[in-house]
Amino acid sequence: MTTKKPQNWPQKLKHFYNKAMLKCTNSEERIEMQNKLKEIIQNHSDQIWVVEWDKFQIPLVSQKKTKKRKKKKKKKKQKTQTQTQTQTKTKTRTSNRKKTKNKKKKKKEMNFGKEEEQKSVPIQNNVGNQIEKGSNSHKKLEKQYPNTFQVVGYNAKSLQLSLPTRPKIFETLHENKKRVFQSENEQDILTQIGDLELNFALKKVRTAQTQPKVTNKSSSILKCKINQPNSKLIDRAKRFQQKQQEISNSSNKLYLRNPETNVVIGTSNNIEKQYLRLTSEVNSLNVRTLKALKGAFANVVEKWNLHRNYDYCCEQLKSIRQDLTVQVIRNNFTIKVYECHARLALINDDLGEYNQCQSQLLELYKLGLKGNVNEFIAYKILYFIIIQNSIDINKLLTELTSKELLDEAIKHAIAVYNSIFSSNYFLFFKLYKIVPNLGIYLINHLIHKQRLSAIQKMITA
Amino acid sequence: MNLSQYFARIKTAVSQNDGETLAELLSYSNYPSLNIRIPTMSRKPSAILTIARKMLPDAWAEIVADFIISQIKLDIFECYEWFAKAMKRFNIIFKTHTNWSLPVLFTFCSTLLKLATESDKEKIAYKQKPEKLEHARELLLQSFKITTNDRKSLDISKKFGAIAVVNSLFFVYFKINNLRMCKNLIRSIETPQFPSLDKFSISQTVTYKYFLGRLALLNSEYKKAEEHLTYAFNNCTKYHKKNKAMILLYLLPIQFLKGKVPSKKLLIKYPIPQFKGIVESYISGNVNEFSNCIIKNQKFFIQKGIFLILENAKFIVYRNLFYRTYKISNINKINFSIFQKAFDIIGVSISLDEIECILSILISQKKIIGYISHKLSTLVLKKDGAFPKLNLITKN
Repeated sequence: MTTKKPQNWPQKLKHFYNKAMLKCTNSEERIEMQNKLKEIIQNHSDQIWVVEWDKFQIPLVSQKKTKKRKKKKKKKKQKTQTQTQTQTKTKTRTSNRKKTKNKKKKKKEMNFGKEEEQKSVPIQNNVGNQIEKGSNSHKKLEKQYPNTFQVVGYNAKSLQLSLPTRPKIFETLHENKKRVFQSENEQDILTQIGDLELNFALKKVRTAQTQPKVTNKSSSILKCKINQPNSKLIDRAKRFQQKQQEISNSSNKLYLRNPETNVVIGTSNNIEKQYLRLTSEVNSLNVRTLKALKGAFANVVEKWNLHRNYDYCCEQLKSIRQDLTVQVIRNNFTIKVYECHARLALINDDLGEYNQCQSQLLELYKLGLKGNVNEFIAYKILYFIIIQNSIDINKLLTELTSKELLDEAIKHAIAVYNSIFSSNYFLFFKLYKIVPNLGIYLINHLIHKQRLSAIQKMITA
Repeated sequence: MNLSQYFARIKTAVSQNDGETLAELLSYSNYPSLNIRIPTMSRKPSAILTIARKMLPDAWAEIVADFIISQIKLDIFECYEWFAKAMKRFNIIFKTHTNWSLPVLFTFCSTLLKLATESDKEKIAYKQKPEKLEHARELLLQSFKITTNDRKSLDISKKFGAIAVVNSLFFVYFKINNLRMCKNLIRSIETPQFPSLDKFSISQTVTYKYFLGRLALLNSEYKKAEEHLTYAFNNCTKYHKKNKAMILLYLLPIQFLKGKVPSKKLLIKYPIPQFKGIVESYISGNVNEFSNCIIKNQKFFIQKGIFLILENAKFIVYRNLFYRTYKISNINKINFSIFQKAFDIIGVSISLDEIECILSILISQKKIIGYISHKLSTLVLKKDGAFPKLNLITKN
C-alpha cells in the first residue's frame, strides 16, 4: 500500500491535506479530520493521482454533532457543496432580500469569509454545467459545456452589500461550518485565478480564519455588535443553531427545501433557461425563483411579440412551467403561464402542447384559481371533437354548471359539436364565421372534412 | 334476539355452507327486521368482537363484528368505514371459498353501494370531497378479481358472482363519471371461457345489459345500444316500474332517431316528465317546440348523456314537418318558399339557404327521395313514397 505513505502522495494531495489540517482548531477536530481524510484517501486509493485534490472538498469537522446524514458519495457531496455555495454568490441583490430565512442564513454563512477579489465563481454541476462571470472564461466554458445557463449580471461587491447583517459573534461560534465554505471558496479560487491572485486569496482566507470576515457596508454594523455580553451571545447562538443545522443538512442534500412542506425552493435567477426533461432529483440551483420566473415570462412575451419564434417561446415556457411545478407554485401566475402557452400552442398548431396545458389548466381551475375558465372549456370541447372522443365530451358536459352552459363560447362549442354530429353543415359554417376567441385554430382542423361532406351532400341532392 | 343467538345462527349457517341464510343475516336492509337487542354496555366494538370470537371462528368473527358495529353506528361515515372493514375481511376469506358464499357477496356489494352513495351525499352537502365511492370501487375490484380468477370447475366456480360485482362497479363508475375502466371489465366478461349470460339470473343480466346499453350510447354506437336496452326492457319484469322507466329513458332517444315514437300508453305507464313535450312536437314536426323542450330540460339531458342524441333527432322533426307540408300541398315539386311558410306557422324564421341545406342533408340520409333544383329553388320529389318510413331506412 504505497499510497498510504504520505511520501508517495502527489503534491496536490499533500496540499489538500495541509489545508484540511489547518482548518482544525483543537486536537479533537484534528483527530476527526485525520480520520476523515484517511477515509477519503482510502476510498480513492486507486485514483490518488487522478483525483483533482485542488477541487476536492475538505470534510466537515464540527464540534457540535449535527444530525446523521446519509452517506452519499463524498465526491458528489463535496461537489454540490461547492455548487450551492458558489451558486448563492451569483445571486442578485434584490433576489437576496426576498429569500427565505433558511437561505438567508445559509448565504450569511457562506458569504462570511468571502474574498473580495472574486473575479470568477465557477459552479461545478454533476451534469457539467458551469456558470462563470468574467468574459473569457465564460466563452471557454461555453465551448466545453454548450448547455450553460446565462447568468443575470451580478456584482461581487453588490452581493456582499446585499448580505443581511449578522452579528459577528455568530460567526465565532460557528466557525467550523463557516470554514468549510471558506475553504471551498479557496478551492474555487485556486482553480480559476492565477498564481498571484492565488496567494493573495490564500492570505485573505487565512486572515479571515483568525478574524471573522468583515464586508464593506456591514462592517460598521458589525462593529457595534462586537461588544455584547456573553450570555446574549450564547442565546443567539442557540437560537440560530437549529437553523444552522437545517441549512447545513439541506446544503448537503443537494437541494433547498422548505422545511414545512418539503418542497423544493428555487434559487436561480436566470431569465432564460433551456428546457431539459427531469431525470434525477431536482437541484434547487437550477430552479428559478418566482420572481425570476415572472421576469422570464415577461421576456418570453416580449420575444414573441418581436420575433414570433414559436420554438424558442415554447421551450422557454416549458421550462417556466417545469420550474413552477417543481416548486409546487399554484397561483394566478401559473394560470397565466399555462393559458399563454395554450394559446400560443393553438395559434401555432401544436396540439400536443396545447393538450398538456389544457389538462393542467382544468386542474388548476378546480383548485379555485381564477382564469378564463369558460374560454378553455370551450377549447376543450372542440379539442375532443377533433380527436373524436365522445365519451369524454359527454363527461365534460355533465360537469358543466348551468352558468357555464350560458356562456357564449361554450354554447358555441356545443353547437359545433351538434352540427358535426348531425352533419348539419349549414349550421357548421354559420358557426365557423363567429368562432369566439381562438377556437378558430381548432376548428380549422375540422373544416376540411366538413367541407367535403357538405359538398357530397349537396351533390346527392 | 340477543347477540349470542344471532352469532349462533351465523355459526350454523357457516358450518352448513348455507350462503342464502347467511346473506339474510348479514344484509343491511334486513337488519332492522332481525331485531337484535344489544345492551348499551356492550355496544363498544371491542365488546362485540370478544363475544363474536367466543362463538365464531376468528375470521368470521371479525367480519360479523364489524358488520354489527357498522349497523349500530349513527354516523354514516363511521357506518361506511366499519362496513368497508367487514367487506375487506370477507374478500380475504372469500378467496378460499367455493361459490356457496356468493349470496353474501351480493348483499355486501349492494350494501357497500348504498352506504357509499349516502355518505358521499352527506359529504357533498358539507361541501367536502366525496371519496367513499372511490374507496368502494377498490374493494369491489378486489372482489371482482377473486371471482374472475377462480379456476375451479363450473359447478363450484365463483365466476357466477362476477356479473353482480361488475354491475356494482358499473354503478360506481357511472356515479363518479369515469368510464374508462368499464371496457376492461367488459373484456374480461366477454371472454369465451366465461359462462354465458343465460346462466346468470335475469336480474343480473338485465342490469348488465342496461349498463352496456348506456355505455354504447355514450360511445355513439346506436345499434348496439338499442340491442342491449331492448333486451333489458323486455326482460325486466313489469313490477319494477322504476327500472323500466330508467331503461326507457335511454331507449327512447335512440328510437327517436329511428323514427319510432312511444305510444301514449307507454308514456302513461312509465312517465318521464321531460319527454312529454318532446314526443308531441316530434310527431307534429314542430321544430320550435321541440328545441324549446330540449333547452328547458337541457341540464337533465346533459347529465344523462342524451342531450346530443335529442339534438340529432331534430332532423327527423324537420323531416316530419316537410312531410306534412308535402301532404297538404300534394304536389311533387315544392318550392322552398312553401317550406318557409310552414316554418313561419310554427314560429321559426328560417332562410331559404338553410332550408335547402336541411333538405340536402335529409336527401343524403335517404329520408327524402328526390332532388333539389338549385336554380328553381324547388325540391322535386319522387312520385310515390318520397318520404319512406323511417324505420325502414337503412343507414349509409
